[in-house]
Amino acid sequence: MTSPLPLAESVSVARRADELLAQSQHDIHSRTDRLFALLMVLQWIAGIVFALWVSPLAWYGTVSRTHIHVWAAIFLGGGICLFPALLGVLRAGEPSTRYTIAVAQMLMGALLIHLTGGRIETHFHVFGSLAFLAFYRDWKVLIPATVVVALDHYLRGAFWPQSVYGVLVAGQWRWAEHAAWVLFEDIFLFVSVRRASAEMKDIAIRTAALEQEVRTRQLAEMEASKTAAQLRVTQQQAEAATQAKSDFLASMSHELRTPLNAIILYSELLQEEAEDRQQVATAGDLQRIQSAGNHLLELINGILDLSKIEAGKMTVSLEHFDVRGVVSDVLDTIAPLLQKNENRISVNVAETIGPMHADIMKTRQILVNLLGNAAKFTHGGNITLDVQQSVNSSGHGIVFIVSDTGPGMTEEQQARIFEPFTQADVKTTRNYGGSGLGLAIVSRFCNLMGGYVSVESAPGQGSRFTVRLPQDVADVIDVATVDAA
Amino acid sequence: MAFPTKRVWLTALAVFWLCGVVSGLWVVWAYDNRPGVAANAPARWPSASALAASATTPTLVFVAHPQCSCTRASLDELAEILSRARTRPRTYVLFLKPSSTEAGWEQTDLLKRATAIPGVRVVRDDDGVEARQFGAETSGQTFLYDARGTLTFSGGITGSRGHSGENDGELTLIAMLSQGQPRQRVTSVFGCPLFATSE
Repeated sequence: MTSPLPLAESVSVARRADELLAQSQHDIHSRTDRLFALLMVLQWIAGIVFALWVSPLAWYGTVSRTHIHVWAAIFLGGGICLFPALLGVLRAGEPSTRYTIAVAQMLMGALLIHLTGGRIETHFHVFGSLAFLAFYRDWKVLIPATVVVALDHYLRGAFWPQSVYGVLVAGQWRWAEHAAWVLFEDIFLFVSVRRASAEMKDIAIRTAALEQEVRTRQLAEMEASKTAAQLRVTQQQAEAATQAKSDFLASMSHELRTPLNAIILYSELLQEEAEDRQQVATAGDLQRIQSAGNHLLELINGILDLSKIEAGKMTVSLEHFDVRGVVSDVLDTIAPLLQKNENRISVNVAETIGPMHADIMKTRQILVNLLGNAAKFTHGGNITLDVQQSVNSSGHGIVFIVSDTGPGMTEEQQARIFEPFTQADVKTTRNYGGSGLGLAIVSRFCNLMGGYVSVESAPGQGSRFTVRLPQDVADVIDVATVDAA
Repeated sequence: MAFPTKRVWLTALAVFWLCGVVSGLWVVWAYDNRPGVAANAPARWPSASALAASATTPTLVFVAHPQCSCTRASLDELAEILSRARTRPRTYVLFLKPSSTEAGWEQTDLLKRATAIPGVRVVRDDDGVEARQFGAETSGQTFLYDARGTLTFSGGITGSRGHSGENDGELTLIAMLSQGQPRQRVTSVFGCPLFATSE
């Protein structure tokens, strides 16, 4: 179904349709003019041949002379035919040309009828000529032709009635009777020409609409092509910028970690020395240096991980491991944090849990981050880790659910927490510390291994994080991203 | 002084052309509608004629120049008259044969055409002796004498030179032969002169 065109486009299509129609009409007029030019010459030659054959000589007793019909065929026929034939070649398509041709064609008919001695068969030349003139698809051209026929009959009826009507005195309107038969044919030709013209107009409108559609499509394609090219450039620029950023971060992280490790290590040594010498104030200061260094190191490691993921350089190293072992390691890691905030933890690992084939380091990091967050934001509360087997349409999976009785989050906060450098609110960083990278890394590691993380929470109701990872990551993710260990 | 535009020149040329061809057609029409010299026919059947008039039916005499192309139409009309008339006249078609012409000069398609008309007696008229008996001057001249030998019709049986179709002479003869009453005794004759001026 075609949708209606806007007004400006409709006007443009209508104008183009008019142009196409005019061009098409001009082509038809020109073509028919040339056909008539040829016909005129052929008629001229035919008239001469006919005159030479039928009445070559006029006799006066035993003396003969060239018959006047021969001269008439040569000179009069030539006069009638050659001028319009010339116009048909030199001025094809001009209205004056076809009107002249119409008049000439009828005059030639009169001459031919005369040369054949008024044979009734030759009168068909008139009717045939009218039909031929209809080739112009211009009904107005029939008017001069009909007028010539009517005038011919009128004048001959007035001056030589016997030669036309066979009687010495013809009725006043006898010529009109003959002209009426010509008009009779004109009516059918008029209807035919009008229909053909209407079809031409219809074709012109359709063609104009099609052209408009093609033009619009071409413009849209050009626009789309330009946009795609711009997008490619932008994408390349973005990729280059990301690459540069990742290279920079990787490089800077490396450059930062080396001295930072030294700072942490020496602050530990100095702290131990200060404690040995009972220098409590100094030991406290060194403890703060060590704590700040560890925090900075954690931040740098997170940034490095994120930059690797975003640069597409983070690979997955698959190996078979026991889930319980990983859970146990994680609990050992976060035990100090649990104790610090006086939280209780309960761990429920389903008995049916089998071994996983995944990246153990990333799995461990996911659990450390989630449990670490729970321990950090909950004070004197309960933290639960449930590990379950899961089977769904994507296959077998392991589900880790970390629940806490902490402050909980609003829906807006939940929507932002997986973005890097984002925490529930600005006060969070001030009250609880952290870089805002933990959950972002959890989310990206889950995606990297073909899993996901989700959160359910409400303010004052605690939070519940659910991580689902494929039991065999190799079944789910593209092998190309896997760094088979 | 401004020069006329191309359009004006073209219009003038078209008008000139139209006037020229209409004048030309007028000349041809005028020529073909100009009758030949009418016969000074004897009111009674010429006694010196070698042709025998019928005493029971009308006798029709048609004079033809064997080379005259215009006479072809007249012969067609003669055949038409004879086929449509209720009374069949005794019909002679005289074909001129000047002695100065070579043998077979008169053997043309016109003679064959006349011979093909049923009941027509085709006669070679040496030096136009018989034609002169009837006072004929123009090819296509037709005479009709009744059974008593009285001239009832003299004239042509075409509407113009070499022009076939219904015409006054034809209709008059058909009426006379069918109803016995003449509509007109004399009509114009269209055809070639039988004799040159010097003849």
